[in-house]
Amino acid sequence: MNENELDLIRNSELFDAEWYCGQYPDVRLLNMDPAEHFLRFGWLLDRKPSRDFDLKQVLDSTGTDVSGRRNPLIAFLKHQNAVHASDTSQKQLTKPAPAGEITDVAPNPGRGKQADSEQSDYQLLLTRFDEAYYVRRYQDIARSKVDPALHFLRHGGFEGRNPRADFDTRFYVSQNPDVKAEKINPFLHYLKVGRAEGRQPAPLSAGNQHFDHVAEMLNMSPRQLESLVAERKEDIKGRLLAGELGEMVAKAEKLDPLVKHVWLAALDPGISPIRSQGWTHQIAAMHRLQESAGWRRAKVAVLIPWVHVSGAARVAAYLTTALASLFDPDDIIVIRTETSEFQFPEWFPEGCRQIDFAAETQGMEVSNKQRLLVEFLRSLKLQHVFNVNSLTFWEALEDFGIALSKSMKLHAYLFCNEKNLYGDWVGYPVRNYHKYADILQTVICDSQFLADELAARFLVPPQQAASLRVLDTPINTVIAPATPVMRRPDQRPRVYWAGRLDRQKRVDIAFAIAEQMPDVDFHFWGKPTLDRGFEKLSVPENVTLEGLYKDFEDLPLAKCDAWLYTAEWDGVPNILLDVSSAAIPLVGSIAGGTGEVLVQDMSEPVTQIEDIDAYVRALRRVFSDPAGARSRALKLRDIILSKRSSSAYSASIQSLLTCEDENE
Amino acid sequence: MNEFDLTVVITAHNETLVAGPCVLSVEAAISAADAKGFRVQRLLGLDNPTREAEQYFRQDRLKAWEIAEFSFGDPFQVRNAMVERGSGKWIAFVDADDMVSENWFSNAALRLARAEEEGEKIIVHPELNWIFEAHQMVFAKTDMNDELFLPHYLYFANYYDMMAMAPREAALRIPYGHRDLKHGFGYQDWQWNIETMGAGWRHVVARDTIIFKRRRKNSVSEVNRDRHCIVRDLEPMAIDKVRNLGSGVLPVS
Repeated sequence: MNENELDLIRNSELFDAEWYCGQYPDVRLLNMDPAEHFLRFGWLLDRKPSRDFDLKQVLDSTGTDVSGRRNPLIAFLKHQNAVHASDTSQKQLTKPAPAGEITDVAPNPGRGKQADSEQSDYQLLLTRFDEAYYVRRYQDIARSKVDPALHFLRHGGFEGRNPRADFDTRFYVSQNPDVKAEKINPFLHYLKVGRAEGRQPAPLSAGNQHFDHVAEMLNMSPRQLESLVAERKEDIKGRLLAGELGEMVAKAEKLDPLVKHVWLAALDPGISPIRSQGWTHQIAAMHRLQESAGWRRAKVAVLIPWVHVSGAARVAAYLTTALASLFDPDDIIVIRTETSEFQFPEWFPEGCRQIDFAAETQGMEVSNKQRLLVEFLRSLKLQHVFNVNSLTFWEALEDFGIALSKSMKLHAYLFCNEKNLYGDWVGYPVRNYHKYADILQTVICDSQFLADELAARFLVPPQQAASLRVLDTPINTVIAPATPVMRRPDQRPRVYWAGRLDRQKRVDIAFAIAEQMPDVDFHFWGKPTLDRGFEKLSVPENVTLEGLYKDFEDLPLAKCDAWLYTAEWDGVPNILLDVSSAAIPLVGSIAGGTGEVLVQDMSEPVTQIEDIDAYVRALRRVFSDPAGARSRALKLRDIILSKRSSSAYSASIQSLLTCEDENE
Repeated sequence: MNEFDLTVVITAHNETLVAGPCVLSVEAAISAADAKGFRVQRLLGLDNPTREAEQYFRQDRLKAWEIAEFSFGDPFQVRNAMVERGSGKWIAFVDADDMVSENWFSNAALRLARAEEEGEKIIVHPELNWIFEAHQMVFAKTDMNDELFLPHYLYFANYYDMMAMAPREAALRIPYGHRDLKHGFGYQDWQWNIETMGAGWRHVVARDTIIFKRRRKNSVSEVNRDRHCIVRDLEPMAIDKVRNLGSGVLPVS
């Protein structure tokens, strides 16, 4: 091991031993000198010598030669030393005359016009270069005798160093491929053409949509705001470097020298409200959300991830409709938190306010998004929040749930759990019930099965059991009984199936059934949504994939002999309610809550869900006695409709809200 | 007539040596205020002090400071109690691990005196927050009349902090909220700033003044952050009121 090289690393500001040990815990475990570790092993493992130093990028931009398996940091430091030595020897070239013209630049042999051009670049650079910042930020420059501005002009700009706090060289290069391609000093490019062309000097500047929105909130143009913030920074820096502020710091430093360690930060003072990208995005998003809400309070919020074909979205719509019968629709606010999808606006009652929270939070850090949601909900001065599968809301409860529950009553819907690829149970009920039941006013289950399961698993005490409610999802549009199938003996029976073409729905079982019944035509509606398992299946010849339908009643129900349902796990799916409402004979798997529709003697429940023969036998029973099957389906229809009316659902919601008021 | 123009309160719990630079900076600032003709009362509020802290603050060197002991376990309740105890027309608090710039009390007092003459209800903050030790950061505070004042910022960040000089009347009328970490509520200074704004007080900054905030692992702000505390749900931040926050500054009645 070369001791000189080890010293070079140890003494370099580019190597941060403390950071290195924290980042790579094996160094401490090996009880090694971190510099030695980097010299011998770290660089071979592509490790960074310090947090902010991207060795690879610097080597690329400076053209440092690292051939022959040299430690690249050593190569770079040697390259740097050579550069500094060269610049120091040419120092007389770099000092501008007071008049602003570099008149004493010694001839630069062989450079001619290039030298003239460098002079003018240098002059231009000096108008905006922050030497105090540069020297504080890059301690290798402070240690060397090089002219900082000249260093930046010739090297620093190409190494990704910043000439001042409000110009981010790496960001500028990343945003402007032409600058990288032409190998121009990025800051000079900005001064010469970039600014005039409206290119952004840093992520948080005019051109950033959230920055621009905050400017609008402040009644100024983005450029005005950018200039104002820059002026404020300059003013403070000026007074710190030569003014009363600076005197105050100097006096404080005498009382505690630690005060002085802050000088680099002081050269880039934060100017509120433009302090960070995170806050700026939150502020702009909050303003836009409140604008969308019409700057009016609301009483109830319903939170949903999105509105597309999904049982949860349908339930959210039923819930909103029920709430609209209890509150002024304008007092109800529906918030889509995960995506902007709003496929079925007609599901929701008119007059409710619809908020696209997802659109305002694209690219926002998860924790900031949660906080924004909490602040938005609180600003609405709500009485109740109903969560119907909003991930952001569930996650926000972790940090802010208790505080939020002091402002409004929190209710959450729980549907069935899911199984992951390994067959393990996952989902909101398994993950969240025990964590948040104490702060939720009500936990609503769509099936008795799920409520019983939770109560049994967690030994829910009687006083808390009342907050675990089962609400029978209503059948909002009562479908008339489908016309009985009039099939001639020579016509093939038809079986329908509909749902997401995902693992949960066990399309593979449905296909296996179809293969066992080549004399029957099977029609499938739906599309893969959550996984790609469907792609691996081969579609039997007697199966027709029909795509999506918009309204259940648009289906050719008069030609359907039987409906097949094969999910492995479920709550009480809407499709079963629709089918039972249409009085179509039903053959389906008992999985979670489906037994609340697939009632024995009124349908054909299959308890062993992978028993293909059982489905086949059940379908054959339906085909052999269509009148009997029809009669049983009509009986099921009567029971389901009486139990699951919209008015019964609204009454349940009302009793839930009233019951809470009484409990207060 | 008040005997004192200004009551300066240092609050402490377990601070010992770290309070040395604090006391020295405060005494230098009091001398500067005294030189400008302001009469300053010195109070020390100890909240559940550790034995070491008690010994430290009862040393002879600090006998010019009148000490009061409490067992709130809440620095803001100490402040409320010290407001009752203090007799200055204005009151300023300093945490025992922070430092102030030498001109803080005098510049802020001059600003308050001017406001009094002009019939303005104001609360004064130092112009800069200079965060040192565990973190390094400097940021400027924004006068409510400044073109960069934006009420929406207060949902996510505090324009000011716990360092303020206010008329004692403001602190009496609007006491600090109690600490409620169990329910996720912290930042009583942030809450107080919003509540006073909502009540018509204008927050301003005293030019060229600085609070040097020593950030330590167990600083109040660190605890708030670690526990993901938020400010209480406040009426001035309601959707239909937030845009007007700060625009309806009321004259002294």
